[in-house]
Amino acid sequence: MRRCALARVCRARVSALALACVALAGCSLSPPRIAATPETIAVVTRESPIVAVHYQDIIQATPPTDGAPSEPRWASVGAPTRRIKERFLQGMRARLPSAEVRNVSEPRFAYLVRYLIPDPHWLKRTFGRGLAFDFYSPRQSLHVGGGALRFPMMIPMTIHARLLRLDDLAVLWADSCTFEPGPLDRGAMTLPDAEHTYTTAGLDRADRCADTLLAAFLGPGR
Amino acid sequence: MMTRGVGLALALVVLQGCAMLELRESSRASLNAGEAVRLDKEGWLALPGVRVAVAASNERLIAVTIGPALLVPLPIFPLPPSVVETRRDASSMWIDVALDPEGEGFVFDPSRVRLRLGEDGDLRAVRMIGPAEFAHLVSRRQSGRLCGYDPRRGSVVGPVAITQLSCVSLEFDVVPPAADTTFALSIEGLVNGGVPVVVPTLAFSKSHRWLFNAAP
Repeated sequence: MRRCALARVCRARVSALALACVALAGCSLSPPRIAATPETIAVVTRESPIVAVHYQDIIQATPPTDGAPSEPRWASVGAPTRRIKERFLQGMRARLPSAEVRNVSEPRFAYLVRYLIPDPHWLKRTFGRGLAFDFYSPRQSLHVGGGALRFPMMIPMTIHARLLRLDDLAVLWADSCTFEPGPLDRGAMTLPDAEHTYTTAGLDRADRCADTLLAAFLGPGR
Repeated sequence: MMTRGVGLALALVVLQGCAMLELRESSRASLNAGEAVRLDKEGWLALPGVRVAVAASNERLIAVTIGPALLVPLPIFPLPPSVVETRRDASSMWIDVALDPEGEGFVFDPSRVRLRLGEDGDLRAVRMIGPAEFAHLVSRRQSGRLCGYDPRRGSVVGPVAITQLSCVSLEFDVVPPAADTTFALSIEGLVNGGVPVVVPTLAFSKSHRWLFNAAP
């Protein structure tokens, strides 16, 4: 009798564990990909204004204190979003010259929502109407110090790109790309962006990621 | 059997950890009764095209209780606050100003912010940090601060463009006053497309908040 009760408890625990695993797996889902249709490309060539923004790709952080900030002990680093955005725009100007996109140089703060991607509501609040491309990379935490460093477990960097219609916050296109960041220079981690912490080879891989995203957006034949 | 039971109970206590209840006091901003605008529950002041919130960094822990958190948390044992308080006494006063603008036209000049504090008169900020990210909910709740971390060590107090929800920390060269000391903050220097935005003077007075924490 007692054994039977214990077995029931064990089964309940296993079920709870399985449920937790499913829930956690759900948390790690990527945002859905949305392919650009010919209509989407047509809208980009005639719509105005169109802006392109990138989200802050590096944060050095310590726990908050009452007084002035102390020396940071760790940093959160993502893909070089500014560089990827600019490479994407450069390619688009060459292959879709009729599209006029304003490159916003100031990085955005990423206020994350569903799928852990930035909340587009904040873009609407700033830019009001039109279309917006945004480029975001989930960050990974590193201890700050000198010298080169490989990311723990060598997790590839992911960059998410979207085209949003600000009137109704519809996502017209969404895609992502991953690349191997390689070793980073921890000593070079300062604001405003992560680009100068990457090696040339790492930046080349990031550039190829931007090209992949552009090819995915424009589709075959452009 | 008895020993095993006691051991299991102790292990559960260790694994489950403790619960801690803190009572903190600080100065909280409010508006005069005659003002046409109101602060909402989260402390935001809604003005034309922009929301403004402020927080002073003079929070102090005044009481704390601790206890087991098995099935029901029971923080019933009082502790001296000095045992728990990790913050050091600050030599200067920091005030966070969070701004949530609509559009790209806002410029904020913190050199035109004045802290009115008793006999010290009108004080100007001597250093600023930001614009930084607006701190996330957990951080705001824990620290009572509005600004997220910004690694820049502070800069000369001067105008900055505010194009998104962001936060500026201002340092005033005065020892943070006790929570029962009243003081006021006047924010001038907020402009939208060249047009000044009038921010009513914010009066700070004593406020309390409870904070419930797990203490592993």
